Amino acid sequence: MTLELSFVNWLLAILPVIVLLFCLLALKWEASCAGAASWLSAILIAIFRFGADAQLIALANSKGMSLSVYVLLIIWTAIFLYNVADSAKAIKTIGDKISALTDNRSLLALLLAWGFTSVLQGLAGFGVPVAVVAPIMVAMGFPPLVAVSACLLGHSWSISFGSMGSSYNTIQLVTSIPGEVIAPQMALLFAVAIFATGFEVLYIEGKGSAIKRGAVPVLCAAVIMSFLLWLMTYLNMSQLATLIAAVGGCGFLALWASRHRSEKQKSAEKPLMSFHLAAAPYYMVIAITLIAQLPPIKAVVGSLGWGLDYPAVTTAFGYTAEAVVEYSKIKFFSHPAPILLFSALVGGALYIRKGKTDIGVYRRALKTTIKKCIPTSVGISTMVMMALIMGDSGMTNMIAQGIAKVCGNFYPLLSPFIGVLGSFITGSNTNSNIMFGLLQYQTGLLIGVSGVLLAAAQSVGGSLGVSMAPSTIMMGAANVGLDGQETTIMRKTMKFCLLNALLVGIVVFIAA
Amino acid sequence: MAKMSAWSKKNRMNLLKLAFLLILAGFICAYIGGTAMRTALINLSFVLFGGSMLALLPLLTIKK
Repeated sequence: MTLELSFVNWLLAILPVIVLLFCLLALKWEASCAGAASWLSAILIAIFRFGADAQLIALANSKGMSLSVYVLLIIWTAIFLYNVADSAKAIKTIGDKISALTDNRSLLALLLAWGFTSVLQGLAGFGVPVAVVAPIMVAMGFPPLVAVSACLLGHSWSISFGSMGSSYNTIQLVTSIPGEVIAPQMALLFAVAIFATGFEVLYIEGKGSAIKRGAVPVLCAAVIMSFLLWLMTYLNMSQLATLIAAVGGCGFLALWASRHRSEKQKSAEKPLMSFHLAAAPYYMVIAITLIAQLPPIKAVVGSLGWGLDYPAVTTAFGYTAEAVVEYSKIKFFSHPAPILLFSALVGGALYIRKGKTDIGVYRRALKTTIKKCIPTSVGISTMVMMALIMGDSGMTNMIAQGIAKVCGNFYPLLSPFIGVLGSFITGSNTNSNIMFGLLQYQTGLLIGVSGVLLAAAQSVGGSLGVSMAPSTIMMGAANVGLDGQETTIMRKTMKFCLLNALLVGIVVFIAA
Repeated sequence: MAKMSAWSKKNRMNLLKLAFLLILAGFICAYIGGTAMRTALINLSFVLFGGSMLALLPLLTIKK
């Protein structure tokens, strides 16, 4: 007995997503509550329509939490590292250093909204880039709407490989596609977004005249960033791909900007600490990640880790979720969390030793981290469990079958928009990948298109979609004093975001 | 501004912490119960997950 593909079954399969959308957008619940509501609806539909039993639900919930723990550890430690640096005023030093580079406003907008936001996304992410850079831009005289829109769009190319690759890790986990297979394809699709977002930041800053002034540096920096992004994925160091690409782009723009530096900037006030001291914990993250990738080191410590084994489970309709060994394994020496935590502790010790902060820096950073991460953790946990219940009970498969049947060969064109939808709903590339990653992969297989390409398009779309996600926009608006004007910001970012998704979709359609 | 009762507003973080702790406890019970087919633990995981949902109930708000 199998559950046939019908409109009612398809609608029920997608209902948890609709519930999430409704709770977030219509009822305006916070993400944790909306996640819980959609999780509950997924459980009920899985039991009463898709033939799931208590064991299947329990194991799907447990798998969801295994996956959540993997992602949350990255989030918690990345935010902790950022807070240690911020508490010691190191982030301000890094920002000031960039601001002092030029008096060309278009270049400055590029440096901050396109480059520095992406550096921060590579290091921390989770809203930090917009929260940090948009107020700096406003303080430098950019209109708040320009600052927040430019930051939202400017870093939207960098999210999948940012935050030490949490979204990228998620797309691998939910689709079981090896990183070295999917990452280069993602990097090639992201090249389109890198060029587009660079020009969009210029347009937002000063329309056509800014594009004229900034076209050459944008093109050069975009080539450098795209190449570095691809190179890092090719070298299987995708967790650092955003960071290295953004640093490369920033470095080029800084060199370019130095040609336009005025005397005023040259005699800027003395910074609180040296740039290199401020960036020391982040240098350490890069160094340890690189060392951990060395073949002799990898051979010794590469297999050390923790992961749970899960048995196969089958619904009453015969849909089977295969058994998995060491599900979402946390490798102690290559998972970003231990590296980030170690760098935060050593970096903090360095700041203390140099007299830039006191021993209380860790306590303050931990307190801020808990405050910021708990709501995110509840939201992510509930949404991931919902996604896993949908996956293991055959609901995701049913959605994929329905979409494939209706869209047919045009599906690849729409593929990035599904990623955008996921981010729009959840405010997170990671959650979008969890929600739709497997669906996109399975749809690809059903319509005879590369599942890897569509999974890559999913993650790229998810990354772009963060720029128009209500939760991200609300956070950005609050940081620049534009509370209540979220719709204005969304209108500004939405058209560019959809344009970027279309450009990526065209490339995917041609490549499929 | 969110329409949230003073009590909910004051205890928002504690409720979220409680919900997260209950989810973590539910995770452990769900795993052990699900892999060892121990019905009592599976049921306990549902109770804990249900508790986490209840902890989130006071946070339901309609934002402007």
